[in-house]
Amino acid sequence: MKTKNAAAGKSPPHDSAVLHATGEARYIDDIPLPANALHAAIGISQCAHAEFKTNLAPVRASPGVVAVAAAADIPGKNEIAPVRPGDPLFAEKTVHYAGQCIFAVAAADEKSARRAAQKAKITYREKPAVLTMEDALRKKSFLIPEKDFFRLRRGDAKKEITRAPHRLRGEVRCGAQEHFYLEGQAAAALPQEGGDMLIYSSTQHPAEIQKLAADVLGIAMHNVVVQTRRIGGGFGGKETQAALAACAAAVLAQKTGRAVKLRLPRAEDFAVTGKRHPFLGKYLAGFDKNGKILGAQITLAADCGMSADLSHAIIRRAVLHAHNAYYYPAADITGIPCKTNKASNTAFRGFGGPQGMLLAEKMITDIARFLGRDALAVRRANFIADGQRTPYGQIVHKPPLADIAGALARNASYAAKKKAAEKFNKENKTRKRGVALTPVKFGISFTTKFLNQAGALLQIYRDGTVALNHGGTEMGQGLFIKIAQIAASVFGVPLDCIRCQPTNTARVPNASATAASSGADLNGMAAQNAAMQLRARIAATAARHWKCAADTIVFSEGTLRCGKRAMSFAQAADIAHRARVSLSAAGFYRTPKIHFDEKTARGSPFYYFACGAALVCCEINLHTGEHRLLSADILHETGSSINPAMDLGQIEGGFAQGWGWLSCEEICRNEKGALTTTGPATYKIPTAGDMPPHFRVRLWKKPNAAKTVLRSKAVGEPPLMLALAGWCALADAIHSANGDAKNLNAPATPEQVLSTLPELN
Amino acid sequence: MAVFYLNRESAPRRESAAADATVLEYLRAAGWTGTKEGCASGDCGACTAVVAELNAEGKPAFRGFNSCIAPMPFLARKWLITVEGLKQNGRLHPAQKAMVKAHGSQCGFCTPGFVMSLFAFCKSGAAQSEETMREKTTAAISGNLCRCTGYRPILAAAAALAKTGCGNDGYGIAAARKKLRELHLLSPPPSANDFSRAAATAKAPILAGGTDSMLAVTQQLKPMPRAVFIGGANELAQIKKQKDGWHIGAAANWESVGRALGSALPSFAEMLARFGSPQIRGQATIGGNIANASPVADGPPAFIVLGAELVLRRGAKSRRLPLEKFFLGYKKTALRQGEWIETVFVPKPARGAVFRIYKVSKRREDDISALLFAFCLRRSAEGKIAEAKIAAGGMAEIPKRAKFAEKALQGKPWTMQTFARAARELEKDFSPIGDMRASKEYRRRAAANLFLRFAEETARKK
Ligand SMILES: Cc1cc2nc3c(=O)[nH]c(=O)nc-3n(C[C@H](O)[C@H](O)[C@H](O)COP(=O)(O)OP(=O)(O)OC[C@H]3O[C@@H](n4cnc5c(N)ncnc54)[C@H](O)[C@@H]3O)c2cc1C
Ligand code: FES
Ligand code: FES
Repeated sequence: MKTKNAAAGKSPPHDSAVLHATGEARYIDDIPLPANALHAAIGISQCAHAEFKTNLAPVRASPGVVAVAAAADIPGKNEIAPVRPGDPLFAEKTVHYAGQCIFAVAAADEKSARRAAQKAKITYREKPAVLTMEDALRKKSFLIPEKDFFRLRRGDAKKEITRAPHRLRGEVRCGAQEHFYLEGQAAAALPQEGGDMLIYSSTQHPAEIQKLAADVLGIAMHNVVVQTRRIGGGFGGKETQAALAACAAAVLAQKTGRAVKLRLPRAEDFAVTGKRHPFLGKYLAGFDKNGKILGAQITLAADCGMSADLSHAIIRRAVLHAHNAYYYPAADITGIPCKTNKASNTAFRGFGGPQGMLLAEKMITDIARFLGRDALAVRRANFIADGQRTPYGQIVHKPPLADIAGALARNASYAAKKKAAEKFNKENKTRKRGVALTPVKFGISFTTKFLNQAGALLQIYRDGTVALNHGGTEMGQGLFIKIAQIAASVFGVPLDCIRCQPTNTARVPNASATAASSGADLNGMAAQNAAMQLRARIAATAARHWKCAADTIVFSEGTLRCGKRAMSFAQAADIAHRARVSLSAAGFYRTPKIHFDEKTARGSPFYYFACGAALVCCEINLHTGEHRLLSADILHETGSSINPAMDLGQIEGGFAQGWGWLSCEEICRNEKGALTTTGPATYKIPTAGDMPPHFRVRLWKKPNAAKTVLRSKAVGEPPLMLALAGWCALADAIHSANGDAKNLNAPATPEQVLSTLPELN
Repeated sequence: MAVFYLNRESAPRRESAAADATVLEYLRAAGWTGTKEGCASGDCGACTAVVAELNAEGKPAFRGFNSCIAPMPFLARKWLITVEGLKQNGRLHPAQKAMVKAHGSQCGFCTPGFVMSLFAFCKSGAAQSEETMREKTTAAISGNLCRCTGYRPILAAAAALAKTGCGNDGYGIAAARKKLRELHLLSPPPSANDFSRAAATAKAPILAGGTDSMLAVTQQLKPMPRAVFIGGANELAQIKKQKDGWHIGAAANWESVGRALGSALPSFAEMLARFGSPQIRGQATIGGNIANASPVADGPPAFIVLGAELVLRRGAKSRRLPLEKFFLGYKKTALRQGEWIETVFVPKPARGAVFRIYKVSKRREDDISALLFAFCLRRSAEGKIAEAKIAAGGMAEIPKRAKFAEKALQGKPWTMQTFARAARELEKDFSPIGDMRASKEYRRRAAANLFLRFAEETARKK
């Protein structure tokens, strides 16, 4: 069999584009519920660390209230942690951060529920709290014993550094980042007959919600169905953090026998959920006169918050990416998981990678400045080359780093931009410009091996239409349309023949989170696998019908052809059905070749790498430290893109989000550890005006050498780190202003930038 | 009771909701869930809907607003258009088409809000020329946050829409005029006298745009069953330009204040472009900004250095008060019980006056100032500083003059040195606090540097 006129590689709009634009696309809060549905609100801790007592009688007595649930009301386990226990649904006896959920209340309407929650009488006996990473490091407040820290060693870094012609030490910190998905955390739980529970959850990981809700309710997994049609943004923030709303709603729904919706108001969403881990990175590097790194000792301390959540995997990825695109002949890199009294920090696009790579880029920039050399030249001197091994021992095959950086530097005129900035800086006293080109090399696969699997369920109906189920969730990345394109390509049918079904745990079991950029790689392969099975069955049926060889049948434009004979795909489906051929197939995929030994920190954890580079120019104002991006040119790998428009969207959006992390998004707290930035009024993500007036992204479309689905490359996370070019450009501008670029941290707010600048006059 | 039109409905709706009911709650409760809630604080734009209203000049105009903080009485005499109202005979509106075509949505949660901002942009006829297109489209969506796209495709959609226009979508000016006139007949707006009487007797707070006062309702759930709504009184939104300056009705929104003052005071217009968002500027009033007495309000410092005066009214009685004297302490004003601001009088700057405002914030667009300085200095014939008025926001518990610094400038030559010296006096004028917007050290240092910026920008080129 063959397929012609494949739908893949084209740029049809997002599967819900029209529904988005008309407002008809339903999110959790838009789903019609039974008339007697209840609305829930939660009560949260005001203290960072304290023993507490509650008096919830005033909550129960508040108008409209139907039920209240706290730790004692949980029928099953009071635990919603993804890996290691430590995240109770409702705090018991002790709260470990300001914002921790203590109870939930269901009432006739949302306002009544929220007003009732305000009436709880909670008394605290405060205990000493660890509120900063410095404090944690000083007090050795860690998630695990020091001997168990994730440490990656190659050669004798200390010796190489001592022997190197030059040495440099430096550090950089980066702050927390709030996901700020536009749709806040939300779930609705609908009790079913026989004690079953149906949950609509805005989650990246329905299967885990299913497991946790079952555990919390004290029922089995097959008693719970979780469905997610789409989520209004996730970015990692709904990988584990969606469990609270879903499980609290489920407990109240079970208790009352009525549907319960829980949607966190934005300020509570900020307070309750974890953020991107703040990091404090330190390096000691040895290098030669060209800036070639000979050895690096690196520590990456992460502020994990009050529990493990996914912190260990995040720190692992940070450590594995602390060399970014460079070759370290000798390295000693350690991750330090600090435990603090804050919401447990969690997955966020890049998953530790950005923090590790920030350190690498910072180190390179410092070295270039120290040697008075062009930073791009130093980067080039250090690019990891074909056949070289990463510090953890994975061989890198033909990395396109030098090619991409070269093409970008040429096409976007790196040299001319540098010159223009120099000229500008000579002519202007209180405004300075900076330029930087930085690479990205990001490892694709979950570093936890078993997660690299996916399932799909395809069914063809008698009218020739196809229902497509897989374990991935649609959060804007265009996963559904991409997988529909993959399936359509197999069947040679028009796209509208394929209908993506809501992600549902009853259709595809035990799916991994849609995370680690792997959504299309894993689920796409599983769907393709299912589609191939069905195509073979249909081809065989048609072959019998026509008495021709199955492998001569061509699937194209919704039609099957064999020589002069032709029938529509719908006819073929109907014939197959009448011939009692199963038109339903489960597909499966597991990523081959990957392995990693956590103890020795050795292996090939990544199926392949996704690379790219960005060239950014910026301008800073020396009066106030205010700055803006003037231009951003990006060249980024997509492999044979399944949908170039979706990939472009991921790259542009990733850059913007990375730039927010590095420039204006600042989480602030008061001395008690409670957030003072509790919503978009005080926590500022980029607006359109923060994007550079010249913003040009090009795709590097060389087919993936690894055998991925249609030879495409994952594109969810890697582009976020392209924004490092902006941060390095700021450092460059600061240096031109005789500022102390070495002390620049992230986010580089105007205040942060000004703090590195010399006094005027 | 608010009488208004909704989308393509043929008869007006009448709703008497409590003052603390928001338009967003109303819509969503009625099953119109296309309009989203992203923050309930006016900061994300997901809830953007559009109204057509008769503006202060009596002309129908369309504008986007944040339905999450708009109180229901606000709908009086307006034509409310939501994302559900755009499709016509099952076909997408050009604003929707442009978004789909440009791949302007990813997760889609922000999309209805953007579509409505694009619709308002298109209706305002704001962008025709290619050169200003990027600036205009960026401004048009500056009140809408998108976490997914990086905005490039949305700007492209806006530009495409500016070219095609909205077409014959049923929301034309003529249709709006007819509907709005009808509404004004059905439910005439209160006069200044009506309002003053109500304000004096009602024992309920005044509600103007609601962009400050509704936050307590949506964020802290503070009840506000009743309010005296000034926003509906067109008479109080008039701006009269006279020889001596501008007499601005307290209910005038920032958009119209900007239109009136912008050409005479370009620096003020620049600042206003960064005041909130288009949605906020169309909704928020000058009176609310002043009466709210926030230390970080952007209006007062500018008006103080320009020598503005307030006309305060209670019942039928009025008094005048220099704006500077209005602020007594943190969120404390000279308003007496039942008294309200009727007019803000802004004198024309004297000849030879140099006027500048510098707003400094973490983010350029739609952010509250970390600090803001307004300068109004007069140059003497000899090139000296004849008179200096400087006021700041974000530096003290009220919008406040920099008297020591002013004194250090008085009569001195207009040089960098003079300003650098004067900046050192700021220590005596202000002891700013640190908060999530900026540390006190930053406020101090940036404030001093703004003096240098002013000197740099206004030094006579030889
Ligand atoms: C997203 C967002 C962004 C913002 N950005 C800015 C910004 O950049 N700069 C800035 O300065 N502000 C900003 N604000 C604050 C606010 O928009 C302004 O202060 C606005 O001018 C307030 O006007 P209003 O009509 O909405 O006031 P309202 O909220 O209606 O009223 C505010 C207070 O003033 C009283 N009041 C109103 N009118 C009168 C009157 N005529 N006489 C007596 N009392 C009266 C009310 O009783 C109330 O106490 C922002 C607000 C939001 C939500
Ligand atoms: S919901 Fe965010 S501005 Fe209204
Ligand atoms: S498309 Fe997701 S927030 Fe804009």
